[in-house]
Parts: sequence; C-alpha cells; structure tokens
Amino acid sequence: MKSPAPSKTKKLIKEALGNGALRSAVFKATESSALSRQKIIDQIPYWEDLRDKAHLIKKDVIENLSKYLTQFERNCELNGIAVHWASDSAEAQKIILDIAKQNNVTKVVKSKSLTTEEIHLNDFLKANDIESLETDLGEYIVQLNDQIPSHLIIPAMHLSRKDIGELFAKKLGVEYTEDPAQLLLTARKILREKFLAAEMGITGVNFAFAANGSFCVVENEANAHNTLSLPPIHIAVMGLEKIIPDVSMLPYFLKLLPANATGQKSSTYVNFIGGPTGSAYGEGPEQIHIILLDNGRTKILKDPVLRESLYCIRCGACLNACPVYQQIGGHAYGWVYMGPIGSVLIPQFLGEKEGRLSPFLSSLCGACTTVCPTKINLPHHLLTLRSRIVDSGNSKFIERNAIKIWSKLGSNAKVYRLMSRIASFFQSKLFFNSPLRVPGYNKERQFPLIHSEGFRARFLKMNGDKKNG
Amino acid sequence: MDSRNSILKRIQEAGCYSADTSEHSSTIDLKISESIKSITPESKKDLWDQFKKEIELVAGAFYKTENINASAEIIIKFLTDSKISRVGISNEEICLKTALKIKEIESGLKIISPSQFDHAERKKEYAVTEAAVVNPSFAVADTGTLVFTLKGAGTSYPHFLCDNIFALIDESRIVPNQFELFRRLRREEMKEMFFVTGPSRTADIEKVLVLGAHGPRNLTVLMSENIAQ
Repeated sequence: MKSPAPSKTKKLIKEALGNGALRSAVFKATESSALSRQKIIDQIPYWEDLRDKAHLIKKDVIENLSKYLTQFERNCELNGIAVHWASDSAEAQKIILDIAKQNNVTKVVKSKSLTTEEIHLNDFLKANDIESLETDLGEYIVQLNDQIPSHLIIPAMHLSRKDIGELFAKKLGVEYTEDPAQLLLTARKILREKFLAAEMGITGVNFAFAANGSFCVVENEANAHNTLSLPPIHIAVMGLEKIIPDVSMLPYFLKLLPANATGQKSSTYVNFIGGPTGSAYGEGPEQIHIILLDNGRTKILKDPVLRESLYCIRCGACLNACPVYQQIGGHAYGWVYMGPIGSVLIPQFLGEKEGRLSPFLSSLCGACTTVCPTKINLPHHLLTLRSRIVDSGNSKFIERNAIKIWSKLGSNAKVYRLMSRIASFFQSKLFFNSPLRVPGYNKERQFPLIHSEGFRARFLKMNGDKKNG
Repeated sequence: MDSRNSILKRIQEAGCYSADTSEHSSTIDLKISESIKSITPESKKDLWDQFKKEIELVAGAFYKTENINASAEIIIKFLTDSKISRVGISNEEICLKTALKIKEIESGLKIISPSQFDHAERKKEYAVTEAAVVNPSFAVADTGTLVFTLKGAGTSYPHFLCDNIFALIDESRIVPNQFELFRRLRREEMKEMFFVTGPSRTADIEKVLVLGAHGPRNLTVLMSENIAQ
C-alpha cells in the first residue's frame, strides 16, 4: 500500500496540481458536499447551538479523559467486552494478531476506519498471511488500487468512474463499465461472500459511551453492520478521544455528523454495540474486543491549547471547505489525515520534522473553523504549529535566514531606506524591472516590484497630496 | 508498567483540569429545546406527515393502512409482482402474524424465522431471502428514522441481508426527534439497537447516489392505526 510521507508533500502537490482530472474530481465533489451540507443546516435553526454544545461536551471529555476512559473500561467489562490498551501502532497490531492467532483467523472483513489506516493494519495483516478486506465501497476501491484514502469520508474521491471501471476490469476480471450501479453490484457480490465467510470483523468507533460501556458505528452502506454482526469475533479500534460521557448526548452529534460529512439529515445506519450477542440471540459475535489507541494522542493532550484538535469527530467538512484541499486533494498531504485537520494533526502525530510542511498548506482563510462541528480553532492551531516548526529549526535554511535579515533591516529606518534604494537599483539594472519569482511556487507567484522612490518617500508624497487636495 | 497504566499516567501528567461547563451547557440546552419546540409538530398526524416526508426524501416508501390485513395485501402484491417466494421475519409476534396471513393467500411462500436456524445457517438463509417483514420499536419524525432494539427483534439479519424490507409499525410509536427517543428508551435497550433511515446507499463513485450498497435496496414503512387488531 502506498503511504507517502508528509515530508514529500511538495513533490506530491506538484503532481496533484499537474493532474487536471484529479483537480476537477476533487473540486466537483467538495463543492457538491458543501452545498448538500448547507441545505440541511438551513433546516436546523439551532445549528450554532448544537456546535456550542458539542464543543463543550468534547472539552469536558478531553479535560477529564482518564475519568471517562476508566469508567468506560469498567462498564465494557461488565458487558462482556474485552478492553485492550495500546500505546502505539505496533502494540495495537500485536493485540489484533494475537486475537487472530488464538482463534485461527485467516479471513478478516473491515469497515471504514481511519484509526486502522493510522496503524497500517491491512499491510500488517497481509504480511502475517491474514486476508484483510475493506468493505466500504470507496475503501474497497482504494485498496484494490493500492492507495490510501484521499478524503476522510469519500475515500476514492480522486478517482473518476472511468478509472474505477478500468480498475475493476483489470483487478477483478469483469467487463469494463463506467456505470456506478453496475460497479457497485460487482463489489457487492464479491463482498457478500466475504462477509459470510469472514472469521473476524474489524471496525472503528464513532462514539463510545462511558456511562454504559457501549459504542456506536455510523454508516450508510450496511457494510459496517455486516462486519460487526456476521463474523464470530468483532474487534473495534478506537482513538482515546472518541469517548463521550453518556449515550443520551449522542443526538447532538447525530445531527452534526451526517450533515457535515455527507449532507444528510441522518446517516442511514447507526449501530449500537453493548456486548457479545452470540449466546443471547444465537447470532452476532461471541467475542468483542475494543482497543483503546493512544499512538500520540497523549502527546497532543500535553498542550493546553492544541489539545483542542482532539475534539475532531472526523466529519471531513473542513476538507470540503478548504480552498487548498479543493486544489490538491488528499494524497498531497502524505498521510491518512488530510485537509485543515490533517495539517494540524500531522506534525503533532508524526513530529515537527516529518510534518514541517503540513501547517503551511493553508491560506488561513478560516473557512474550516466556520464549518467545524466542534468549533476547533484550526487557523489558530496552524499558526501555533508554524511558529513551533520555525522555533524547532525545522523550517528551510534560506527562509529562516531571509526573514532574520529582513527583520534586522526593517527595524532600522535608515538602513531600510538605503537597502530599498540598492535593491531598486539592482532590480532595474540586472533584471530590467521584471518581477522576481517566489522560490518554491509556480511562475505566476511573483514578488512585487520594488518602487524606486521607496516607501517613506511615497508615503510622504501621498500624505502631501492628501493635504493639498 | 503496562500500557493501560502508562497511558493513564501520561494523561494525568498532561495536566488536564476539571472544566466545569455545566452552567453554560444548561443555557445551550435550554436554547436548543426551545428552538426544537418551535419547529416540532404537535399532533400525531402531523408527526407522521413529517416522518412520511423525510423517509420519502431518503428513497423509502410509506403507506398508512387500516390494519394488519391491509398491510399484508401490500406485501403480497409486491411479492407476486417480484416473484419472490421467501420472506424473512424478525422475532416480534406481529411479524409472524403478518407472514402467516400472507401464507394463507400465497401458500407456496417460505417463511424464514430466526429460531429455525443456528448462527451459521441463519446468516446463509437470510442472505438468500429477498424480502423481510420487521417491526421497529419507534419511528423518529424529524429524520424519517426507524429504531430497532435487538431485544425486541431478536435478530438483525432480515433488516440488513434481505433486499426488500417491510417495516410494520403502530401509529402510537412515533417520537418527534432523537432527543425524545433517548428519553423514551430503556437504558438496557440503548446498548443493543440500530437506527435505519432509508435503504442502504453509497455515493462513493463520483458522488452518484446508488441504492442497495451492502444492505436493502427498498424500505417500505406500513403504519397502522392499531396494529394489534
């Protein structure tokens, strides 16, 4: 599976900007998602209050995380759910492999889960001779194409129906078609057999409820329900931050999530899991395991301001609203989280060196915060992270020193004036008064021409003109 | 130190504080509940009208019938037109009654009920059954959602593995929204339940909506004034 690194984001952006089909697909999809979202919000007069409420619930959870997690653990165990704690990807992978080995599992079905993408679960299971198949249509497509998702909610947003038709013909040996209904039918037929034969189902968790030790998975396709109800073992992988105090608080989030994610008033299915059902109902899993994954979350928690990024419910609305994401798509960010929330999470999860470019993939227009269901102040966090990246010495050498020189010159009026004149002189003699390109950008991005008179003279002149006028 | 304790230690070391947000939270709750009140229909009839509108928007069908016989007739017509000979049911008594009613007229019909099979057989049987009769515990008006508790249904296979779902529901089982729903549900029921809003769907290919992703293609709600009669 291709998993490009965020440090290679410049190369990835160039590739994305040169791919007209990708840009058009991403732009169309994000635009239509944003329009559908607005249609739903227009019908909910208390939308802003819902956002305020969700913000407060998440704030309470994140500030009291250990209380809610231990309460959740206790209640899960009372419900017969086995709770495992994993500090990092390797530990989570090992827990899953051990459960699989103990139960002689060779066939796994998965429903869409960014947390399992984060721990590279499919590659790991494959390396251990366990078939792990994605069952959400978009995830199935990107898995067949040996890629990672390019959007939190619409994983194959970057592919056209033609691309998918060719992919199915090549990989599945079916006749080429561009008809989405026929393509779905092919996937459904294959996956139905896989659901029935699977020995283990792996899902993520949308919300977990501390007060009663249960959790829920929200979806549209019914693949998540099949994943968690047909195989005899169910493993749910959950980031520590996915907890909320009580199930009665869910209605707030069940209004916010579908409207923001897919422009629906309600998702098609919400599945509640509160323990193994095999013996009580003669169907469903006999074992349920939940893995509470840290993988860097407690590091994020250390910062009293940036910990707000743990309020994210992975709705993807900030991606659809972001003018940068709309141009470059998800793969250019180089990791499983992309868009404005990805730009905030990448340096925090992967470190300032690996994620040094990510917080700069933003125009800071603030559209992301306007749509965020939990009111995460994303532009503020992006600025904080930019500053940290510079302070930690992870910015570019030339950039860092150019700014230092600029700050020295700019803080002394006489030197500044002199340097402006020198620069203006060289500009006219050496570059024939044509503007210089900004390094690292395309040719349309140019520095403005340095005025021969200098700012001070022009300002005084303008002021004089005003007075005379 | 094991992972559990080291994670909890790291959380504690992060220096979180106990944020008391209760007062602000109550003010918001009040605003939300007043706003909801102002847009919620008062009568049961209006709530069902709202439900009908919402479920039709998500490609579901809705019929109001007089009784179980009238509901059975609608199902029979569909089964005959579609040449379907197997109907799956969930555990509620009303589903079995309706299935038997249908069988009185369509004697060749095979009824698949959860108690007939063990787990391995049950999923295979429902996976090849094209229609199902189920009985939701509640209908939520403002989203067109049906609520099923596992305790009531005893199974979720007919709801998810069969292509054409007929949901029989009594007129009294409507709630205006999910806030009210959670007030009406028992704590134990909340652990094992599922919400259904329309047939399964995907828009993963160029955002083109296609129904019948990995679950049902059709969902028909049959509401009766007195389902027990």
